[in-house]
Amino acid sequence: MDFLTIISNTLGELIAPTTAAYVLAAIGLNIHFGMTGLMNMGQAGFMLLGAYGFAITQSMGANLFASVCAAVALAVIYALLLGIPTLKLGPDYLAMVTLAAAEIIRIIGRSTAMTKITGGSAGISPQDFTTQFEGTSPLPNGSTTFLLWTYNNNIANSWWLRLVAWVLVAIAALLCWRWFHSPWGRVLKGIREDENAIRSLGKNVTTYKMQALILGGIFGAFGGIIFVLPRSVQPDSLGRAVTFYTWTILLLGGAATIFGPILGSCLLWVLLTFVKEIMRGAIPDTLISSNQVEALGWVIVGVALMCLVIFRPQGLLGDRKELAFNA
Amino acid sequence: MTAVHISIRRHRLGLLLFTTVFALLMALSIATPGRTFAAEAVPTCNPTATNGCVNGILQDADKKPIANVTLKLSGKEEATATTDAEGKWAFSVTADGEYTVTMDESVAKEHGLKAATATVEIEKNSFDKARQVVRFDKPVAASANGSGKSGSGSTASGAQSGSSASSDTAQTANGSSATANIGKRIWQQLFSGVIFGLMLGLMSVGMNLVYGTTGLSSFSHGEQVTLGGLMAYVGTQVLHWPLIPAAVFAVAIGALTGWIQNELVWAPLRRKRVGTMQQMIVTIGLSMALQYLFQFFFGGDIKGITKSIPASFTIGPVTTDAPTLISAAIAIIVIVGVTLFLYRTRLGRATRAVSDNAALASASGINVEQVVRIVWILSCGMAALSGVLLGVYLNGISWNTGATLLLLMFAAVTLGGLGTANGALVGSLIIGIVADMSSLVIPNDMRYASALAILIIVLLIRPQGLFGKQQRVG
Repeated sequence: MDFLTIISNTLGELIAPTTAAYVLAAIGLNIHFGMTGLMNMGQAGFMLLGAYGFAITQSMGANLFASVCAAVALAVIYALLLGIPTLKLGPDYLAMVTLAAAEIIRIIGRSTAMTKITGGSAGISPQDFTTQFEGTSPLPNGSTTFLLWTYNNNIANSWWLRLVAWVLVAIAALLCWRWFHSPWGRVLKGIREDENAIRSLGKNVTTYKMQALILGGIFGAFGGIIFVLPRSVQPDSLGRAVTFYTWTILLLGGAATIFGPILGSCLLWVLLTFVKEIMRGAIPDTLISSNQVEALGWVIVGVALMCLVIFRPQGLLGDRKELAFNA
Repeated sequence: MTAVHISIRRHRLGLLLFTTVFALLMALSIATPGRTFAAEAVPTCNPTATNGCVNGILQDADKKPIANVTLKLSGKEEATATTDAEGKWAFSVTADGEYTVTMDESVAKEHGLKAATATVEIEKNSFDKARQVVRFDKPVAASANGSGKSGSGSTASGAQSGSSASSDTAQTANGSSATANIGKRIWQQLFSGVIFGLMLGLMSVGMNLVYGTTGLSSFSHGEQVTLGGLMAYVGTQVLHWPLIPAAVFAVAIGALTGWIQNELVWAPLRRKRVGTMQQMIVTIGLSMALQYLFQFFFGGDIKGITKSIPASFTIGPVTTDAPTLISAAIAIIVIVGVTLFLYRTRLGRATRAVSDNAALASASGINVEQVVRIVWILSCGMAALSGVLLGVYLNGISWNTGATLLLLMFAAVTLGGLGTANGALVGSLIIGIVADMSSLVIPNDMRYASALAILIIVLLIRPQGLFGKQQRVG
């Protein structure tokens, strides 16, 4: 077992684009759940729509800005479609509808009937949609080593992507911080704590919830774009499991906090990769195969999620008094 | 030149990524375009994300295995295989589509087989179509013309036999033959929809009872279904028991897990007055943990509960087989039994009282915890039973079978009305029928989407569901 490889692989997760993508998705979910108390069980749907919106318009030759706009527009429309029927209903309903809708998007996206647009289950391969993004990079060609990590500057899983991803995360965190402390954010928190109280103050609760759903969804869409840039757009890689990961990240870091999603995502991926790498190295392949190590990783996440909710629902950074599950 | 260079590097980077973070997610998805593998003959084939299976056991009319027969696979990909001493053969294929398996006409005649060719449709990502079992004991509809099974001849007769060969591997008649007349297809789809709806009913009635009494929508109910199927597999294939004791064993284990998890997890959480939303997230965690524990212990392939392929027969316009009908009958009996229990027994009345208003029920002397315990046991037992029946009906069960059905259960429960036991059954039947019938009009792989669309439409128009009481929700 090569210890240095394990360390560098593990710490590589700290700055990986995927980690940043999950941070963005979790920030979106934080606006839904942490701020407003909406049980969105379909954040992966927002991500997948964002990814499709971006990749499909890119492959059709639109410019970068237009593609991002398309992704955002899709997320907004999707949020409206989901929100109009369900926001007036109880939290169970929103949870089920978002879950089902995310699944519908995935099923339609991977359907053979949609192969011309979405590439079916094989998805959209990176050369069709990443060239423009890579072209905008100001970095020179070649690869750079920084501390432990060596990545290509511009191509695929690159430094440029990392830079963009984490700058986006910083912007998102900053915006969240502004929003959380604005009057608007206080209304959202009020809705989370007691909807009827806010209603009695003459606020239109459904409108506020809708705004939160849309904003969180937009962050989800950005997360989706970052998620697919180092790989291809494959509907099955943005399934229900991604939503559940995002929930674990949010609850690990602490809902209703600014740095919760960031801490949660970094911690989850670093720990998970570390545990898996150690298992791969320490346990002989004959005893536990590589696939089984993957499965064990998921089991750990599942158990972690259960334990978190039962024993420390406020997560690492959260305030227990503030976080009330909207039952 | 540069382009090639870039693509190679990209590939390498992709590979690196593959091994580090997302091996599983990537493995769940399909091979990237450009990587094509031809079909190949393998000793045993297990469907994965990247390959489907066309396999079978070649038996003569007396169910004796036929060894050393060369079988030719044609269609999207081509290969040949030879049956082993037990008559087993398997092809691993990579492309979705129709495949025709052909053997020498003289061999088929010699062993009393009714056909020398059969066509199946493979769809890697559909859990009931990733593996197709091919059988040769059914006559080819439009006669096997000529012995030279090559070129267009084989595809022509293959298309004819498609409907008969694939319809007996449960609910796979969908869209396989364009030539079959539409009326027959409608009946066949309706039939498989009803069967599927009944099995879904077994699951969702239990789920709805739990929701009714505790207010918890359990995301781990799908895993309870998988557990049942896998335990039946353990019973029949690992412990070599007959099917019925294995099924009883599976249901007992399922009920036991229901009892244990209520004692260990849900009862303490209720005592701590943890909110139902919080409990719901706990069920999500449980669902993930269980699902991947199954994968850890049983692997990613489909586990067949029974090895033999039942003989199929025709009733009116519908082709079916005995296990399917028996499964349906068991499902009906159990559902009727549960309904009688709910409406005719004291405990059943108590259950409904708790569903209606737990505090009031408690005040009138009903032991709510006792009722909830029984509901959990009943619900998980029913889920396990449905897993067994589903495994028999679909020729196998895999680690994520239940998870794929979870949303359909939700749809059924919501459609019928959250918390109403009979509503769940009606909802399940509607969802089952719609899911199967919709494949007549929309592509087959989108049929579950139609069921989920129903869920959303119901919430728009009648959020309390078909049988729910009109009340202000939210």
